[in-house]
Amino acid sequence: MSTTAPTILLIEDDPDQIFLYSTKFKLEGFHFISATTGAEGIEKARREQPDLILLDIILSEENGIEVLKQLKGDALTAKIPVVAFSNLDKESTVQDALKFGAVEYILKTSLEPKDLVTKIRSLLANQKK
Amino acid sequence: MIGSALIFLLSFVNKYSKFKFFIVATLSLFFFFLSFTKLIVANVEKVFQTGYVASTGPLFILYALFLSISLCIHIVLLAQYYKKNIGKIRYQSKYLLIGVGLFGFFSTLVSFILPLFGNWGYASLDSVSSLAFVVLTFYAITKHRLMGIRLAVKKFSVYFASLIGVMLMGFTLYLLGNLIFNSNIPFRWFGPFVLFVGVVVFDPLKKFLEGFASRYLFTSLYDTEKTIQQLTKSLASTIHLNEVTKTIVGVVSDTMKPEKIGVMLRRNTNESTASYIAAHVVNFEEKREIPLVENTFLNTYLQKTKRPLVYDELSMITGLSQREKQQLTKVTKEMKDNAVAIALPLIAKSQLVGIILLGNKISHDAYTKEDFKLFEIVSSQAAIAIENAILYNNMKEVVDQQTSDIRAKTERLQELLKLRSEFLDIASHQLRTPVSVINGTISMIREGDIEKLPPEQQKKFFNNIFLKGKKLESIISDILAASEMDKEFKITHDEKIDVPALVERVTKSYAFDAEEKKLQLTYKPPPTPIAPIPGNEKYLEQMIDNLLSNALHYTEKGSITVSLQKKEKDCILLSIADTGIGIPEKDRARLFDKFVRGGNARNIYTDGSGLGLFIIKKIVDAHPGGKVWMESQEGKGTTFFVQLCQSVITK
Repeated sequence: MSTTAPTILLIEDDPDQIFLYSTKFKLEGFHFISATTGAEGIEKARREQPDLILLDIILSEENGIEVLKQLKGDALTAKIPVVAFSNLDKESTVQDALKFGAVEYILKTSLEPKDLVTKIRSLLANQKK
Repeated sequence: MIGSALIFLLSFVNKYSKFKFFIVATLSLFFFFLSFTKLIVANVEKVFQTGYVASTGPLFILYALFLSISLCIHIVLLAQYYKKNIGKIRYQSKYLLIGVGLFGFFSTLVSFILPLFGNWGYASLDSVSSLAFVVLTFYAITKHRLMGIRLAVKKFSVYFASLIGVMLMGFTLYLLGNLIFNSNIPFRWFGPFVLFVGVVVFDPLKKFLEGFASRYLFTSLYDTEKTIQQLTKSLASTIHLNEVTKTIVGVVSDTMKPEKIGVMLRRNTNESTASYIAAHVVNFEEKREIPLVENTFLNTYLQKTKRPLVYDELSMITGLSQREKQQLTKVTKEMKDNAVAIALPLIAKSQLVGIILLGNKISHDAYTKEDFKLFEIVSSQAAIAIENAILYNNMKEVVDQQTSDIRAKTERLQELLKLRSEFLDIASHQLRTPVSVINGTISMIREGDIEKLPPEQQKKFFNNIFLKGKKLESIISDILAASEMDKEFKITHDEKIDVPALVERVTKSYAFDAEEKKLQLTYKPPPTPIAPIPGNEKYLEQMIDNLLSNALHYTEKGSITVSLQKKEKDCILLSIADTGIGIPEKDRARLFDKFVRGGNARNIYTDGSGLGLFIIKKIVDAHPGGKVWMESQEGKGTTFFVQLCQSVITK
């Protein structure tokens, strides 16, 4: 595990999307891990201490906002930046996500995988400053 | 004199007949002429200046007997009549009875019994005792509207009493003058003096007597104008029906003081058979009054004449058909039983809108002409007020109804708006999800990322595009189907469907998915053969598919059992039982709505349209006898039931 390769955790219940984004991020030299449920995601975040978390808001088992609150409420994971990553374009949900500590709310269809990678890189650079 | 009294009495007690008149008149005339002979009174001697002394004649006993028997008949008739009647007539009879009794007792005593013992000394009191009869008859007239001439009598009595007073004064003066001067003052001297005094005294005396009469004889007289003003004012100040009826009852009670009063309002002014409700009753049992006021004769009479119906005048109504007579008898009986003296119509826009029932006055006075004048005004004023109040009530009801309708509609609209915005949020999420995968994949292909991957991964990328495209198509068709089913949804069901075969086929198509989730998927064929059911195969397949897809999605472990069985009345029952998360009770009722999921399905079905159950219900409902319902236990599983029938079930 290279020290220069940042670790990204994607919490997402659709395996097709996990396959898509993991392929892209790995090609771009990221260390990429994923979880299909919120509980699994929190567990992996605590253990792996990723540099950034991509969190889907519409999960089949939990509400992504609840997962976000737990991540932010846990001292072990509170400092990890979380990007809300969803196809739900609902103003109230966007506001909730930002209120509970997400650094950004990204609509999946708004960014192609390469643009997403660029976005994440700049976010990570900002975090380091 | 006694003969005519007997005739008066016979007519009073309604027992008058020509035959009786003939007998009484003949006897009376016989004695009348006899009294001029010496057969009864043999000799009349003048004693002193003031009295007469008579001696008995040979037929005196016969005469005395005739008079006594006549008196007895009087008393018996009156006593019978008194016992039989109630109300006003009873009181009238009572006073007549007392009058006749006093007259009979005294006149018999002084004119017949004492003379038999040779004592004529008190015979002159005979005429005084007859006064008792006259006075008490007058009293009955004035107090109890005997013959309905109370007011005329009042005036007449006052004048008459004043005249008598003046005459008595003159006579007294004359006597006093004679006594003081102990000599006969010539009347031609004295006359003008008496006349002068009379003229001066008459008017003050009349006024005094009027005051006296108003206070002691006509106590129930009130200021009609003041009452009407009060009534008008009170009625104008309210629009509430119960206030209006309360005011009417209050005013009538205060002025006339009836034993009972009730305001009954007609519920259906347009229909021929009247129906009433008791709006305000005092001392009446409303249940008992309803049949009375709903009587057809009473209603027709009040509607036609617009005048009060008086119990004592019921017998005067003539010219009725047989049916009307029967109704009248009923009214008479009911009025008597319930002690109703007057039924007063309330007329608004020439329609009978209500009836005021009045009992007798507490004072037992009769209702006067003035009372009736007041009734007339109450009738019109109160009716208008009641009409207004009813209109107001109806209007208020309509307005309240409309307000609540509007409120319900607004709520429904708000709910719809909320649903619509939810629909848009969810539908766009559901549509974007496959699109984002398709776009992302294609973008990576364009950038040459794919070429860096091993062949089997490349294959998966292409496959994903295809699968997500298919998913997108199914979501779009679900949304379209659901919006189509939003309106009245009708499908043709003229095909005959072999339901077991269809169910088996769809179930088998999920065998692979079940195996992947390690679920046991079983199809149980019907124990007895099932005849084909009329239906639409395309929609039925969609329905079964949706049910199975749901069962699979919400079940993590255990089994899914699909079974079919025959039900009564040519129906079949399909059940799909899973061992999944179950549905909370509070969510079950709305579960067949669009985009509604069980609260424990945490979030929207990430990979579906959220329209499955809505579509299922629409399809089932569009089939003959179709019914879908569920049984569920949270954490244990859910069973969906679908009933399909040969024809529409009429229960």
